[in-house]
Amino acid sequence: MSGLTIIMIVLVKLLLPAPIKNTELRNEFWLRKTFASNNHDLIVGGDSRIYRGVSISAINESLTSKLVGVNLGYSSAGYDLDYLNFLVSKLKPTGNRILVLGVSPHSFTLEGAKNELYHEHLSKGNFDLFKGLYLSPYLKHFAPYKATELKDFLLNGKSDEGYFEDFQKDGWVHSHRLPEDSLTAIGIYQKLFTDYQVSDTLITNFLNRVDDIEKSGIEIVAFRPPTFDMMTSVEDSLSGYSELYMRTEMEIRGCTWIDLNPAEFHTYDGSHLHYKSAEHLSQIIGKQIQLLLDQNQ
Amino acid sequence: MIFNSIEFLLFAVGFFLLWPILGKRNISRWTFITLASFFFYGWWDWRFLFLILASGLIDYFCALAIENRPQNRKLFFVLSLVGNLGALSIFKYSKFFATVLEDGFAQFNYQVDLVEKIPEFALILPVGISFYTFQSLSYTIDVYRGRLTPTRNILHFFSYLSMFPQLVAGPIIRAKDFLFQLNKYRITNAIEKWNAIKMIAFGLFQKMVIADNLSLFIDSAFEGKSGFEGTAYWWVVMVAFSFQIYADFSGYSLIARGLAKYMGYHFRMNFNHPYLSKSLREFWTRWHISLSTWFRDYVYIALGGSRRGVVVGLVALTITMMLSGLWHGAKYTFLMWAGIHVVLLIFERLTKWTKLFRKSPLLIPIIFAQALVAWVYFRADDVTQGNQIVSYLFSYTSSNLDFYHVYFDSVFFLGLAVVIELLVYLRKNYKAVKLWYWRSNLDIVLVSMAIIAILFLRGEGKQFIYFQF
Repeated sequence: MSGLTIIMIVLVKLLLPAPIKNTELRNEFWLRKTFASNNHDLIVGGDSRIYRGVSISAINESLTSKLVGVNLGYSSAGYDLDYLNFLVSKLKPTGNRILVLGVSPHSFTLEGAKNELYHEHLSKGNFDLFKGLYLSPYLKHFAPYKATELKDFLLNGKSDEGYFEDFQKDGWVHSHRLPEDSLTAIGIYQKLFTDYQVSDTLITNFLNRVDDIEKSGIEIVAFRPPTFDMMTSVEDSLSGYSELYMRTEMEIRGCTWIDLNPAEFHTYDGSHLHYKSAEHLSQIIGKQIQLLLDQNQ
Repeated sequence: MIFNSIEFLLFAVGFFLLWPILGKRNISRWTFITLASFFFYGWWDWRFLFLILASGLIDYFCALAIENRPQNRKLFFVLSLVGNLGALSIFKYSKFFATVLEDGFAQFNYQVDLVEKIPEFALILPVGISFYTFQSLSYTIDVYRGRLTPTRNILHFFSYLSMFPQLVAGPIIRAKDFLFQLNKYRITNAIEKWNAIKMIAFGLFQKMVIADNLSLFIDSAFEGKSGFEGTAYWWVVMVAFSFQIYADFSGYSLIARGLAKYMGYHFRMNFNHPYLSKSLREFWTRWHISLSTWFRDYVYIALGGSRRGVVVGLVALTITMMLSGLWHGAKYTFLMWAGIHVVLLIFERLTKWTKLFRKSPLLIPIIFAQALVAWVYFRADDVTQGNQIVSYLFSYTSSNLDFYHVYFDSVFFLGLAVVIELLVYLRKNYKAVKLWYWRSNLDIVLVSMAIIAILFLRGEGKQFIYFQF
């Protein structure tokens, strides 16, 4: 019986492509982020546009010497003090210390400031941590398939629909979705910004903390994550967010602001960047960091 | 800790590694079972342990007192009943009874706020409270009736009461069937081990592959999130729920029996393909057998059963079924579920209509449909939703099957569940199929396939439905 089972397992692993969704990988990915060490040169923070949009490896491609970094973006993350302090705590105490912040309107809403995913992972019990950090690397080989995936595989040889995610060790999720639909996220954000506008208190607290961080010798690089044109219009018209104000205030405090041309980027759902655009964005960030490092030398 | 979790896998590996060492001597075996079971139960919330300890201590001492002080046996028996049913009432029914009383007073224009006055701790439902309370109760009832000699060793008693395979969702084991088994350490032979592995594999398959994959389809329908309506849709949803609850609960029972068998113990069958029944009466001899027989022995027969005339029999049946409904939960929907069974069972008993068609396989889908309609209320959030769904089932609106494409991931497993039951029917009823199955040693292939399906086709891990009872 065990021989037959092992043969079947080997056949499944050899014949079938990896399943589209892998909960164990996802679990390990979030826990590794949340419980990352505090010896990094480079930390990237923000919401899902950031953890799907910024790759540390791609940033390093633009640098003359590589930085040790991790992307600590979380779904719907908001810039409350707790989250900002968490980001800073993962930087090493001396040497190059760079904090890259994706500044989207949603990060300044009270909804974002709940930081639900971040807190969910932070409050995991010891066994969940043990499972996520030490067992998931083995369990991920047994990720289940959906019946639809098997049907597609049997009929077409591969699955051509779904949300394809590849969880990277640097905290980036290499993502794309088939079929693409740029309007998927628009309705959600319209409703969201009708219920929640950006909070002045959150912005003030954020800017005060940014001031302190800059004064402590940490370089902050910030930008508005590029997205679909229509999404930018929805955000500008409904959220109460002013990019110009944010940029000016951050630059006054010594931050570096990156200007991005939205036309250079492509989203698969109207909000998140296709992995190729994510790599492109990361390279632009990398070039800006290189300039900063050169200036500091 | 649930059976379909990594926590439990590690726990079980540890337990079965130590079992041959610690299981040999009575005291160490009972201590080991009790401590391991408390660890298993306390994994949910260690505070729940106080309740099972209290419930167990009351019954342990009451049973001894019934034996040792015959002149006061009734007093100790009542004490046990009050202790067990009192705890059950506080933790499971206080909110329901308070709501009923509030509604009652409201009829006479008195506004009272009873629900708000219930202490917060009483609103928490300890996992599996109905199962172990009934198990504990059966012990004192059997001692009181003189059918069982109480054990003098408290660890012996607690190893029976708390034994982890059946602690939170049954089967409800009777002390008279199990206490004596716990007196021995049995070295299981290869066939027993194979049977145990087979039960565990098939149980996990039922739970993780069938039940868990059906849940998204059913939950989205009952939560109104699917966007689909119509007669055909709701029939498929309800067939899916019928198979989900069956696979979920039968799966748990099979795993529990398999674990016990691996230790060398025997738990009686709890499910015997109930959807292949040819009468509703037969359905109740195949569905949740340990609970049905508990109610039969301690309530139905105690109320007179069927030996004291038709009327007494029907009253006993009604009371027993309604109590069974309440056992599942303090909601009107469970009473509706039980009520539908009462009506159909009484009709069946009085007309004996199923006996007229005894040989027809068509009885199977008819009985299944009866159970299905009752399941509507079992799953519905409230009676209004249940009524709405029943109206969808019986007033034709649409035979649109578009949901098939959206919920293919669930509907596929519904098809698989139906096919499996069909194959079981063929194996049970056609000698040639039975012989072929027996000769071809198909079990080995089926267990391997079940394991592969558990690994690669499992749905999202969910808590067992019956844990809430």
